[in-house]
Amino acid sequence: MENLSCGQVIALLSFYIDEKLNSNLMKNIEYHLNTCSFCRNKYMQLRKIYDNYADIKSRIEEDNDEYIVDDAIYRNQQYEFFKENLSAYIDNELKTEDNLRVKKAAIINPIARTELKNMLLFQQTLHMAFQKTKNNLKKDFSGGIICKIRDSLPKFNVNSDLSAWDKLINMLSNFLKSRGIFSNGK
Amino acid sequence: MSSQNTLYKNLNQYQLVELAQKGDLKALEELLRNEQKNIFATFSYLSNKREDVFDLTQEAMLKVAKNLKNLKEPKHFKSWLNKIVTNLFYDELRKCSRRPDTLSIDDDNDTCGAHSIVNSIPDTKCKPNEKCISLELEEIIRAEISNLPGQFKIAIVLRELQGLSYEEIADITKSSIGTVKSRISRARSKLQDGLKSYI
Ligand SMILES: [Zn+2]
Repeated sequence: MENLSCGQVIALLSFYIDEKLNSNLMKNIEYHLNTCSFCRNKYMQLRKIYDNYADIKSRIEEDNDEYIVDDAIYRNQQYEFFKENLSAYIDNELKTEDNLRVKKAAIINPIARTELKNMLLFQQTLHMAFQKTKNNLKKDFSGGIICKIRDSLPKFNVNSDLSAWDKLINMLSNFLKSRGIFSNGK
Repeated sequence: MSSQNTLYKNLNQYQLVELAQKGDLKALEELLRNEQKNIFATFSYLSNKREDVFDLTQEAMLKVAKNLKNLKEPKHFKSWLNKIVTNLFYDELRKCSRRPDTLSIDDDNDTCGAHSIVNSIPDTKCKPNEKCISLELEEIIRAEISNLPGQFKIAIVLRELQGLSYEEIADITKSSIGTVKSRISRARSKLQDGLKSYI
């Protein structure tokens, strides 16, 4: 049996867990792990992460993407802070240090990350709804409002046709421009 | 028609406000035209009574037109406009029911009677590659928001629809920034909860 170094074993650990190595190499690593406590510890740690990951993955598949990782370790103080400030965070209304705390939680904590993602999705949907509502207004009230208030403004002559007036001013200013005299229209 | 005037179309909000304050009615008209959908949408989410939204929208526009000269800083227009909208909504909350004859610009009983006062706006349909939501979902969201308690819906609408800062919302609603922060956060949780099965 070949003797593998610790470095070689650790480099191959993830393949070993996935059983992606030839049987000879599998046996060699198994032998090393039985005799070397350092590598065995590394192996146990990695194994745990992999099992956790497989667990989350199967839950995602079970719950059709709406998974809840019920690991108490994630529902810590950092998470509480995150939850309390997530709303103000997406509004960019937090002090720099609090902003960083929320961002950090979202990077480290998978539950927080999911909640941030859901919040942004929710916000996007709201904005789309608002856009749709805006376009539900099919009437243009602006002209009518102007008519209403024109009476209360003494300096404007109600009877003058403003568009005709504008045409006249345009003609005048074009005429002046053609003569090289700039006019702002008044 | 005067609305075809491209000069005014190319002006930004700040410029329109400044001109309108100097008495330029075409600038004022363009400003109102640009803002009306926004005002309409805001009332659509605040008021539970759909039939009042058109009246409220016109009432707010008239207030804007009449009082614009009192606005000191043109750059505070948006916040100022939302104060008008919010105050009209507060009045609405105080009133139990609306008198049907409060204001009706739709009627032809004004000096501009000859031509149609209320013009129609061309349909703006969703472009094929634009993200769109269904009419049903929009209505569900509108119902969820307008059913929130008054202060919560004002806070969330001013934030999400109008994009105002917490400070501006606090000023409009006469509350502290901390209160605004918690109202928006709670409104979001409630809405997310209510819309869970749709989003
Ligand atoms: Zn070893």
